[in-house]
Amino acid sequence: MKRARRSEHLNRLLLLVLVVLPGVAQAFTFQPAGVLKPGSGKGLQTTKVYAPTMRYPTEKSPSYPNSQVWGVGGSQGPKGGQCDAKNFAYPWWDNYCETRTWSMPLCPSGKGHQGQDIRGATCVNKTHWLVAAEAGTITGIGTYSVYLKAGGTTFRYLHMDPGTLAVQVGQKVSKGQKLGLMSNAFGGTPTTVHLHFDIEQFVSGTGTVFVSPYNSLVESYEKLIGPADPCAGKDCNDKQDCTKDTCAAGTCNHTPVSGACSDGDACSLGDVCSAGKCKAGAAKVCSDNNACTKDACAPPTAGSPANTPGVCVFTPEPKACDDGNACTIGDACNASLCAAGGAKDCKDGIDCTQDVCTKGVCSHPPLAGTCDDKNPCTVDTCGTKGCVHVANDCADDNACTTDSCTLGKCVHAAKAGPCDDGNACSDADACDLGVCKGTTKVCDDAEPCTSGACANGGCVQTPVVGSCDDGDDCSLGDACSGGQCEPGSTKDCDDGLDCTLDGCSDGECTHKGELEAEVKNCVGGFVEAYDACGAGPMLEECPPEKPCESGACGGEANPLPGDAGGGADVTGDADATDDAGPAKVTDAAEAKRDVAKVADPESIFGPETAAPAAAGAGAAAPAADGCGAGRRSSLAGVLTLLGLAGIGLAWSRRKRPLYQTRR
Amino acid sequence: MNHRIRWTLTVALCLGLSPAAVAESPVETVPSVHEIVTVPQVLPVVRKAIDLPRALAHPPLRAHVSATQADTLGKAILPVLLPDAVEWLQPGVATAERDWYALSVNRDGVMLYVQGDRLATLDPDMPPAGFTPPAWDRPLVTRNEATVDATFLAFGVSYVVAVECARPFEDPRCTEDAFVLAQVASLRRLPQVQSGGGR
Repeated sequence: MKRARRSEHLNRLLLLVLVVLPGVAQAFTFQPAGVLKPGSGKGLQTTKVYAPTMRYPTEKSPSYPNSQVWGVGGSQGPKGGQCDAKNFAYPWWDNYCETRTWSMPLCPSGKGHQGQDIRGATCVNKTHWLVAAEAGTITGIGTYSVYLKAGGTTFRYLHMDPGTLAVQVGQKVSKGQKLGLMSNAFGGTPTTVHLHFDIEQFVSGTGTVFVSPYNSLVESYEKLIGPADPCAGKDCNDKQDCTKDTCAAGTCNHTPVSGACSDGDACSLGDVCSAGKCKAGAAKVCSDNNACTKDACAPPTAGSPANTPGVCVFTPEPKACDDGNACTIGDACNASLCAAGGAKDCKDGIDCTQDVCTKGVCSHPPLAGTCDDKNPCTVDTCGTKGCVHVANDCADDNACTTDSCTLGKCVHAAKAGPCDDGNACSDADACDLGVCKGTTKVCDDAEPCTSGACANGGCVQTPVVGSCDDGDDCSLGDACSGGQCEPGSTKDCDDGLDCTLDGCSDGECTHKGELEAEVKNCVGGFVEAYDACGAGPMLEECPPEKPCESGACGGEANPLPGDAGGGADVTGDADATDDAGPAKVTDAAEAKRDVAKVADPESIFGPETAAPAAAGAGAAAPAADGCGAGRRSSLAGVLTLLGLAGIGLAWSRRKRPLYQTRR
Repeated sequence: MNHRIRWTLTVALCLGLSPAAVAESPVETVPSVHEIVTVPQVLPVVRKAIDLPRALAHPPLRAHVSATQADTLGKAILPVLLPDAVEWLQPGVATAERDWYALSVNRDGVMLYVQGDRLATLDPDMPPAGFTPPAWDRPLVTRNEATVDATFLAFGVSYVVAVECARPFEDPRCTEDAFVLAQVASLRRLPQVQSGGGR
């Protein structure tokens, strides 16, 4: 069982990490026996445990067996003080056979230190109690040593403080009993604060010699600090900020955590944990707003505290730049600064101008006084090609004056001749004492119903309203309409007699009986005629072109009553078949007006012609009026009775205007 | 930088040591912790047999021990050798058990310590080849932290005479062997020791 225990112990030894890692509690680790500080000699590699039941000689842990001479601050060790933390850290180092000049047959070299130097938890003098490794007897106490004899082993404690020893020679002590305080006592020559612990045994065939205490110390120390923690010394640090690293029963667990982290890139800021990984934040912005430097982020200097952000590095770059002055060209970087280049060329080659650059734009304001030609009648300016001398503008825009400049003043002399007064409605424009004058253009067209006016040089006749005279005295109330004089109403000449044909001539009313030619009553060149009122017969002479022949004017007798086509309607009834016939009077007054209006004088004895459409509906009305059939019948009877039956019959047959006048 | 230094630096960096610390260290190969691992070995301890005839042949002590010393030393069943000089004997404090005894004397800036032990550790590797076991007339002298030890084997017992000086680096009794050798030479057998040890 014990053998198995030791085996386990050494197996653990194999696994122990040799260094104390940050964030991990210090775990007990040790170099094996025989492994000495480099350069301190050849150790005794042994697995022998010479004091297997001993108690570790310091009261408390931690304690650090290691070399004093080759430790930090030792005469052969790294520079520093004995209190350097490296002296108070695991792993342990064996120094049993550390180089000495003293004979030690157990050491490979035959010489050696013969004991083990042990530091306490700290370097503070006279603080750490040393205790009996075994129950035994104090057999000797020297100036800086205490001898504890327990069975065949003598444990020696060197460098204890002699002033605070808790035991005396001959005293029996129990295992773990306090003996004294660790100190630096060394016979008047102080050493480091430590315990030189050795084990002296009678080694068969060799004598009483100091055996290696190292494995015994390891064994006893493990008993002192308790059972080994399977997680002790186990490095569970996954070096991820975003996990919480724990160890349970020897197994590492890495639990994701949230919050800020470092992705290892000092130039990313605001790194945040996500699912156990550190996600890079935004890149650190390094900008000095200097075009002459290359801006970059670099890791912090070595030795900076953890999570120190990267530092911005601005490296000068030789390149073109802009010095902010647009009036310089070829600016270039020089040691982080933008040096101005040459001035922008704004020369225009014109003597009378200044060459000026403003915000990169060339301008050429004139130089005052450089273009004066001493002529008051010129305006002197500096143009794009140099000085320009322009004659004073004396033009008065008056065609009736002659413009000139004299001694810097404008003179406008009057002149004669045609001109244009600018008025198109004036005619015969001509200069008159420097003024252009014309006569008003006449636009009256003598028409009563228009008013003439000039517009843009042309005459415009504008219709007017009001009364006018159409020249016909038989029309009354003539009025202008659309620029024309329209006749008014026909003068009322109705005399109230049915047997007269009322008419108007030259403004005077006429009343005549209707005369109708009798078809066979041409006698001697005359035609018997009767008026509508039955007076007669009057003899009317046949027209020259229609001499009386065969009893009729023109030799052609009028159709007899009852003849087909175009004959007079003797029935007096309205008949649609008569549409092509002459107009029929339906009302006496109306009929009279129609006669006056539409009858053609040339149709008196001529062939029947269609009445003009202007005759209107009245012209087509049946002839049942005041001069109607009834009356005509009676009149015809009268005529017949008077021997003029033919005339009477004819009258009843047809009605034809005897005459009409028209202006 | 030679190969060894580079290797050392590499190992040291792996161990978390700063390059500076390495640079200050002697340039040596860093030994592996795990080069040799075997089962820890607990050595047997035996009580050595006493060669009584030879012990009785050792010159007896002429000086006298005190009653107290005698009483204490009487516990030890082994030949007890003590300084024969009264000044180193009588002031001494004697301690003893069955298999060992010791006498501790502090005087004149020196602690003289004499011990005899018959409990022997059997170390299979010891003594080393060619090693001559020390004897009373030719003890093995060694020093441990400025204490001077002289050991020898006699009668089945291992004796040791240790000298510790108050001024260890100045006192010739510690810086030189003469004193301890003289003390060894002065050792005499306590007469009461009888055959087989004990009183």
